[in-house]
Amino acid sequence: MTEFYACKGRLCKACFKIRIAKYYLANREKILARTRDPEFKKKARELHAYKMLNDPKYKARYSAKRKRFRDKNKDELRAYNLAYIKKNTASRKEKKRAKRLTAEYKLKEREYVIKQRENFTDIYVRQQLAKRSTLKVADIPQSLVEVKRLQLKIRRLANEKR
Amino acid sequence: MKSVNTLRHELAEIFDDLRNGTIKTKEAGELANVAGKMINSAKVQLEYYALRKEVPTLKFLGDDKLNGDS
Repeated sequence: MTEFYACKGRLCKACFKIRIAKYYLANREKILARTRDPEFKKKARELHAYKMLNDPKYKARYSAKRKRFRDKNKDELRAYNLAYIKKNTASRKEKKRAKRLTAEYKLKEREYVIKQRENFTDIYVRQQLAKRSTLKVADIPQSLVEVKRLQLKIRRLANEKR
Repeated sequence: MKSVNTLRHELAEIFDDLRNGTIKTKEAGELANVAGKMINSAKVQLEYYALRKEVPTLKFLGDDKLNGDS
């Protein structure tokens, strides 16, 4: 009995822990119900965030605790993370592929392309210039884009009038 | 026609003339075709510089910085 809490009625640490454990066993359901309450969880999160910002001692203690946990469960965490990445990247890719196959997506894509072509947008003209070439879209100067836009406009108008 | 700006002005005039009907469609088409050739030659020069990983210095393009004014 060498260690005492200064503010807990001069109880030694071991006695205080026993008292807490007894209280927990007697009021387990009540405590669990309280901690499961979303409002309680929200308040706890806010308090944690506040302490992390304003209490350096709390922050250091929390960081040390997290580090201890990471070091203790290194392999399990690694396996869990790898499994999570594998599962979610695969599902993400599948979702994307499935989305691209939908008629709605194809229609939207088609509409987008038509809009680009009708308005002679920069990206459309740049794509026309970069077609069948090693040039990247970003490598084309804007002045060349302006000239190409005019040329395309003339060609289209001439074809319409013919 | 020494620079891209001159070419642009010329093409703008041709476009207006074509819309107003003061120039024949065939003639406008041919002029647009010639402009296309000039644009393509500038493009080939740009490709050359890009492949050599050099900064292009083309008189035809004037003082335009690459993609800087886009």
